[in-house]
Amino acid sequence: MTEQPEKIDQVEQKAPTLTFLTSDNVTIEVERDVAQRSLLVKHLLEDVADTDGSIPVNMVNEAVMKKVIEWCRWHKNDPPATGDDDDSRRKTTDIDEWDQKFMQVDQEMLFEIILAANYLDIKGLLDVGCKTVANMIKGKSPEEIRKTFNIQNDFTPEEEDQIRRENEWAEDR
Amino acid sequence: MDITTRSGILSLPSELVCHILGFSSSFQDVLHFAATCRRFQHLWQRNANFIYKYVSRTAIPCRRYARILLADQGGSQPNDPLNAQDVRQMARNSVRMEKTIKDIEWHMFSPLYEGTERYPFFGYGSIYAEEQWMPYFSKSESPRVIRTMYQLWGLLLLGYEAKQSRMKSYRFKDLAVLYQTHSLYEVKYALKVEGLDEKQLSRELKDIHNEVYSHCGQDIIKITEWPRLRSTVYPKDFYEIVCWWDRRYSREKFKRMVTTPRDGCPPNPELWYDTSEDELMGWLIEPSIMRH
Repeated sequence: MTEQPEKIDQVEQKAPTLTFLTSDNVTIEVERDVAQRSLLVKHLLEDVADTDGSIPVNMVNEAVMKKVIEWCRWHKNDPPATGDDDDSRRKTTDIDEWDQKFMQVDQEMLFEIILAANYLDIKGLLDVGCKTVANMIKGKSPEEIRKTFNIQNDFTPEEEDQIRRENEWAEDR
Repeated sequence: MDITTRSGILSLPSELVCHILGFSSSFQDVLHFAATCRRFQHLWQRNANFIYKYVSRTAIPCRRYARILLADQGGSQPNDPLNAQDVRQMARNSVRMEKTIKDIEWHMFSPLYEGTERYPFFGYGSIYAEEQWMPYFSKSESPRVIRTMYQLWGLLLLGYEAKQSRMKSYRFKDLAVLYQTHSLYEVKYALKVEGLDEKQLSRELKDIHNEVYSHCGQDIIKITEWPRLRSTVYPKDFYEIVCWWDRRYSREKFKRMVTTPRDGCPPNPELWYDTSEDELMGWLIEPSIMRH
């Protein structure tokens, strides 16, 4: 017997909706204007006017998709994202208060959100995720960064020594 | 199963790691990250130019002048892509600039609110305090000094003909700041620390001084001796460096003196070019300057 997808997260309004099918086989209904924060979805809807079926999001599980939708719903009235190389996106590393709270998740979820934002082409969310990680790196020594992100040091002692010497000038600030 | 492998930072594709590093506010952070493991070291080596493009906006003031110095130091030419070694060198140069700015600020401003025997006019309640000088350079004063230091440092690395040619490309504004900055102890110290031989440095600085003087020294002196400028409040030892300051509208006065015909001052508007804050910080690239 085929397992039926579980229907969750019903929207209250009667706004036009879309349905996503997540990687763990859960359907999530979401308002169209919220879903269109994703350029992937927006372009899909432009190409295919009637999407009666669910849109599969194979790279994203239910928990992450719900977080992504939460972000999109909060930011649904933001100005639309522009081109890939939008310089203004990088002018500040500040993260607004709501986004900071939104990003207070464990690292597994943080990186899943970044991957989902990249896959769904949601530039604002991608930037917030990346800024959060950049802030976690800020001011830390290599060893502290390794500990923070559980990175294994695979340099030989000679390689590590050479890198340390090359970067010596940067330590005394 | 190792959770880091599945969903940690190592699970991100390189383009996303680069995107993250592009949000760093300093190259020190980037280099520390790259020093964590081989994968990120290789990623940095391969993508230094991309990362530079974004990080340098906040990390390297006066980028276009920093690029010219890099070329003078034997690195990539100003319009060519940068490699990791280039970026490291530029970051290092920039750190030296930052330190020098702090040294100058310390020398210049530390007595400002304290009042000492040497600076009897300073201290709370003095005219200096009333002027509400902040004990550091303003956002536009600092890059002005940095720009000049990049220019000076580059000149010291050039051969005679290249130096002459470079100086000919400078306008009065550049030369005036250069003239008034080159002999500062903090500037000399920075250049010495960066490996320039002390005797050679003194000789070269003297040559540059003479060269600038022969171009426009009299005009600079006339400007700095203009009574209204001299009466403007500056910290002692630095008040003559009129080309630095924004405060009390001195920058506007300086510009007016250079560009407006009046007795004893060069009246040629072409001697001046306006520099926006963005430009000073390196946001704009001006090809005519890049080629020198």
